[in-house]
Amino acid sequence: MPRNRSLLVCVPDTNSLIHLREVEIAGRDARLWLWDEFEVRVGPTIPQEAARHPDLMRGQLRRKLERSAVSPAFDLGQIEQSFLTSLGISFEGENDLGERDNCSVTLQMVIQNSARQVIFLTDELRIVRDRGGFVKQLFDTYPIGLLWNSLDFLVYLYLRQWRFSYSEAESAVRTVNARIGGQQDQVANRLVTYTQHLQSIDSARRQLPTLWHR
Amino acid sequence: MSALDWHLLLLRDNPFSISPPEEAEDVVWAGLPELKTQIEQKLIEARSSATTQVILNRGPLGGGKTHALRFYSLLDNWPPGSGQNVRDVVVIPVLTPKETGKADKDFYIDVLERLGMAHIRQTVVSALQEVGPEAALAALRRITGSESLAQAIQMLGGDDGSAQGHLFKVGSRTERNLLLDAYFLDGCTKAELRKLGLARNIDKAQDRFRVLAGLLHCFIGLAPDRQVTTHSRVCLWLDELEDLVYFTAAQYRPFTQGLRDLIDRLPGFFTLLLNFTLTTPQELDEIEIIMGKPLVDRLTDYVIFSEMTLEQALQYVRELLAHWRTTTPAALDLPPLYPFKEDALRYLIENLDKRTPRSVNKRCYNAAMAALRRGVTEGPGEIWVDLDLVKFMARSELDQEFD
Repeated sequence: MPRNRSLLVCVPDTNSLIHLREVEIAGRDARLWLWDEFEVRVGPTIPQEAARHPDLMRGQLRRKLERSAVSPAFDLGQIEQSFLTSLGISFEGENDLGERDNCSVTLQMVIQNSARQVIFLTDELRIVRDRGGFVKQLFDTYPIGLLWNSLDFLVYLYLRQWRFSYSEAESAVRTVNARIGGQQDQVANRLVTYTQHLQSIDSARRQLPTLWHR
Repeated sequence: MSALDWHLLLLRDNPFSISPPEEAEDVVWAGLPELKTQIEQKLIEARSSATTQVILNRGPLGGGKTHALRFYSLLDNWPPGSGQNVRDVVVIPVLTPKETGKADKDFYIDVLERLGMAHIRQTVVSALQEVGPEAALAALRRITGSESLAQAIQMLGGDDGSAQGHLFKVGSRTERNLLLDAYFLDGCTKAELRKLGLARNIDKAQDRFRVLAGLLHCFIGLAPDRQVTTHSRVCLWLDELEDLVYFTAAQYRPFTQGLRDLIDRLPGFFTLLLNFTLTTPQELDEIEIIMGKPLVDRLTDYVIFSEMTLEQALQYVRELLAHWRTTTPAALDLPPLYPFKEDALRYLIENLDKRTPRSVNKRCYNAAMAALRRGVTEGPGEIWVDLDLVKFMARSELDQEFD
């Protein structure tokens, strides 16, 4: 058994990084908080995808993303053949390459003990839906971690960071939810659900403020 | 399907549209007398009182909210007031701005364009003449909270020979109006602002809603009293407010703040109707999350566009058919629901997921189409939508979308 606990790793998708743009939390770019909270790792495709949006991925963020890219030991084809074919999952060409790379990195990190569990961060609704979402299928079959969207990350930050005010959090959820998009009822239900999560945390903050003042 | 085909069913054309007609004159009201009464009670109050109303029209998709907006945007469809009435009612139907950069600006432009700058100018002229230029300027200053915005609105009511003529020296009336139109709609260059004698453009969201308040108050009338007969009522009817969920915080805050500001600056003779679709039954606290508590706190009333009962739906179809008849069915010894056999129509309506006018229309249209295809050699009054036909049709065919 290894002596040290491996790290809490977050593997973000490009779309999450785009949706979290221009969202400030306690005076800091929301995306930079990812690196404050987790060990961020991404597959090799993510920095390439990010480079296609230079106005959204400037300076510190771009450098951090490049440093977080991993080159896994086993190539994507081998991983998909071994883990996904049996689930009936196949891909055409380079569709969803960024997400597939991230799945490959996630599997290899957990199995090779670079991480115990991974927070897989994506806002791509199609790949995480209950029926037919390949990432959902992967995470349901192999217990490699949690599926989060950017709203989950914002609520997590609001839970942990006292300096993240309620009004900031509410605005951030509204903005990122609008960017994630989808059918009107999906967008509305998400806004209501995540705002209610914030309200629950806000209620707890008011009742037990000393829990956050450490 | 052509109008000729509908004639075979004793109808002028397709009565079962998916969306209400664009032109208010073409919109008919069928069935749903309780809903009509509910709405008209609010409109009677609008006609005969000074109260500012903020009314939430809530209901499922296809429930008739846009239909009601279009129907009542025509004043002829309004009920008469009770007792003393306002001079006039101005109905302004507007869509909630879609995913655009500046929702508050788009909304402001939409309202102005809906009214028309020529109409706005005429109205400002009348409002100024009614109370006099000094009282008008004082009222506009109070309403807008801004001297420069008040002056700009007052300029709309000036002409070359008036007291405002000295404010700028521009050749023709048309050129002056063009400059003012540009100021209100789009913005002017510094040189143009100097010509108009104005310090700055209407740049901020807050200013746009202040200007709207000032302009709408000119339609209401600038007299300081609350006498019903010396004022008009402005009804701003906002459709698809559920699209607020697509607004980022940067779009949402100025827009909803602006609406609240408008309500607060128009404490009389103003009706704001808000159409809001609920796809799942949602409690008020969930509506509050989407609309924002400050806006919800200003609501004065609700109209619920509920799903229809079976009997209500039958009445709805019967009355809708009656509006579109070429010949009354009775003249040919046919029942009022022709071409539908009653048991077939009941079957169509009974197992609908949502008994809204839109879903009823969809089914009726698809069933009528199927009947016409089946009875291609039959004459007028001979083609039927019967139980065998509708039972034979697959659910997907019954609920198929059409243009």
